[in-house]
Amino acid sequence: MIAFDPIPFAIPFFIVLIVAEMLWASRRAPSAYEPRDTLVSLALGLGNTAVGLLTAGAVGLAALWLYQFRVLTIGWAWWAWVICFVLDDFNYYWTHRSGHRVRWFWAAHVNHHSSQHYNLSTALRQPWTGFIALSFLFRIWPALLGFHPTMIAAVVGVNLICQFWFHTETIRRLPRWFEAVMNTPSHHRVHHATNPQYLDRNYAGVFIIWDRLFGTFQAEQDDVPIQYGIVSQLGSFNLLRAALHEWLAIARDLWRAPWRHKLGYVWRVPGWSHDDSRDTTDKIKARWLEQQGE
Amino acid sequence: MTVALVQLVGSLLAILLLARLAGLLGLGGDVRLRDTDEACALAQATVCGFEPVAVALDRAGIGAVLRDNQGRIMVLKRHGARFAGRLLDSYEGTRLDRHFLTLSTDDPGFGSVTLDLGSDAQAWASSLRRLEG
Repeated sequence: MIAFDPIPFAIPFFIVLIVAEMLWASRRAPSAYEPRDTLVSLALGLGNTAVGLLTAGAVGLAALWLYQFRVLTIGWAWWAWVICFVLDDFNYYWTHRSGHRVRWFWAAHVNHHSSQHYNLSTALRQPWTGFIALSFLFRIWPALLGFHPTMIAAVVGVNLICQFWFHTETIRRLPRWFEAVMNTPSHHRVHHATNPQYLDRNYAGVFIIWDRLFGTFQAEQDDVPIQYGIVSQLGSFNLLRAALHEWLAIARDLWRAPWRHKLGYVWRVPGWSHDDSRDTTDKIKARWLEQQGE
Repeated sequence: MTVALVQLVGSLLAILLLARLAGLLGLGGDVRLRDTDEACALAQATVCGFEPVAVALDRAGIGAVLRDNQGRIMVLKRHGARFAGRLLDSYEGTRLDRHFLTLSTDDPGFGSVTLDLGSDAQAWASSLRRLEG
């Protein structure tokens, strides 16, 4: 399916921008980067690329199989590319939302969030296990509509590239019209925050309109210092742990849980437990709201 | 395939150079806890609803141990340029060596944390025995 993969062409720009942000950080905010954290983030990105090379064929075959049953043949007109991009961004929103609300998908996505830093290297902190999680199914169904799998693959790549630039603290706010429509550093900082009021918000990829439309938008508040990461911080720079810790935790829970509750540890929200002994983001938010009411 | 391999090797070299550059620029720095207020704020941010009533800072500021109004114990440790915390589930793995208190969580990835609590170490070690296990 990968007839044209735009990501390799973007990598030199990624590197230049990361260097520029590091130089900014060295003058303005030295703790915005941490060498070991950067190394883990970039190694996760490299691993994602390597896994992508190995699994792209299977994903492509799945999309081509779906394409046989297409209801239309949309072709390659410029407007088809535009529609395909917007539709894929819509699909990204739901992939991403599922990636936070279903533990199976979260196990793959969590490593994008497990850094306590928020910088351009964090953008490249991509999962190794997305293929196993089958999250690609959210992105290839437009083949059934008649979008060619090659077009879908290209827009998926462009969408990922478009999400790189807003993983930064160097930009506070952009013009209001832009913040209204597009995902921005400000909106995405909220998404990476562990502050209770920010949990499970701003799932958007390129267009923030999906969050506004589906009720998950939260504006950044200037008086709330952001804590980045996950609700139970990793506390480790071990690469394998960063890539696989939630899968291992699922395996432990499946082993220990009573039979009738086992699947709950796979498909329910992260943090769910059959004896209610753990915190989900919903419980954390409810507790925080209760505190605010005191 | 050869092109892909060259790209991967090139990317690996770039990654190592970027991490080295971050080190050369002194990024990350030597982050320490300033005072107990900062430790309390971090603990509250780590577990929503954790209201510290007692806190002991490591003398070098690289960690802290805190107790909240429900008797829960949290250990904070420096993690690069940030701090990470865990609630302690049991006394198991707690060791006292003069002024040094070592605390172990049930999370092997988080590991154990050794804090120099000075003369407070003995009192904290005793109080931690109230935890089950």
